[in-house]
Amino acid sequence: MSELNPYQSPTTPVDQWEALPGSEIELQQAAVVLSQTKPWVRLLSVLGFLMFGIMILAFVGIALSAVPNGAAGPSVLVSVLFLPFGLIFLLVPALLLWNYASRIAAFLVSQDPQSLATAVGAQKSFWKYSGVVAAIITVLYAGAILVRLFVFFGTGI
Amino acid sequence: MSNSNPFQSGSIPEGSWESQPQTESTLHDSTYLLARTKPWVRFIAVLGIVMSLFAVGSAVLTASTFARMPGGPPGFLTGMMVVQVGFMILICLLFYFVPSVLLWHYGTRIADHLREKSSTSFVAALTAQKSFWKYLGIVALVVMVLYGLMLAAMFSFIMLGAMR
Repeated sequence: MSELNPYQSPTTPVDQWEALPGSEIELQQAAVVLSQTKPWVRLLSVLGFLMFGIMILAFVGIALSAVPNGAAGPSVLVSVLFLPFGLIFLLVPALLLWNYASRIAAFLVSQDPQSLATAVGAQKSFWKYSGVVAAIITVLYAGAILVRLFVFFGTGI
Repeated sequence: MSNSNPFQSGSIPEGSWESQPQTESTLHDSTYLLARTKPWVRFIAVLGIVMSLFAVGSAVLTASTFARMPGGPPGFLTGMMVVQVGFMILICLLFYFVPSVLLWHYGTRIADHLREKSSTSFVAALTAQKSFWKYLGIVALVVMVLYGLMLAAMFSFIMLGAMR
């Protein structure tokens, strides 16, 4: 049984009526802010790709220049050892930032509220990745300092 | 004069009612995702602030140690050393401290949004995030221009040397 009172005069829930346009306006404000964020995110992403490309070109150049001296082997080895650093610190963050900028673009085009959550999720992925990498580096640094301290107090060197 | 018809029964536009829960659920999803973003942002901000303060402290300590060495320049920090330490501090501020503070600010805005759960606080969090990316972008552009100028100067010197 409905709880509607048939004798009551028709009323409009004022706060809900006010909230409806407000939410839409603020969703549009979010779109404006994200549209201002996108070019900077895209720029940093492109710079990341560019830096990774320059790094690869430098490795190839060093390896090729070492061929006449017969030292191509160590050069290639150094390049292969440094490649993971390029992947971890340049390529993957650049890809995640590119993904974030693309998600913002998708939200701006479709104006679909669900795509806003996807964009926010994309930036979360970037921060999570950055946080995990920062945590690993911090642990490695702390480990290296501890090992150095043990060596120092153990051998006095 | 209002255009509303007083004889019409109270009606609610269905489309509007459908769009409201959708908007609210979107903010709910985004709020949940921002809540999961906050710890990582805070962690990186704290790490950045600690590292920048550590770098500034170690730069001042190293410079003062060199200044107190026998045969070194008199006084705590003198001449070129002041310029070098000042440059180090400036670099630390620009590349580590300011972005970390902006990140901290973003984390604070997320925390405000999680407390208030309003659309305004959501937009404020996004704006804080925009400020961070804008700052990083401007710094990156400035560094690129400086690199470009350095390369141009190097090529000019090489060309001048070859012409002589």
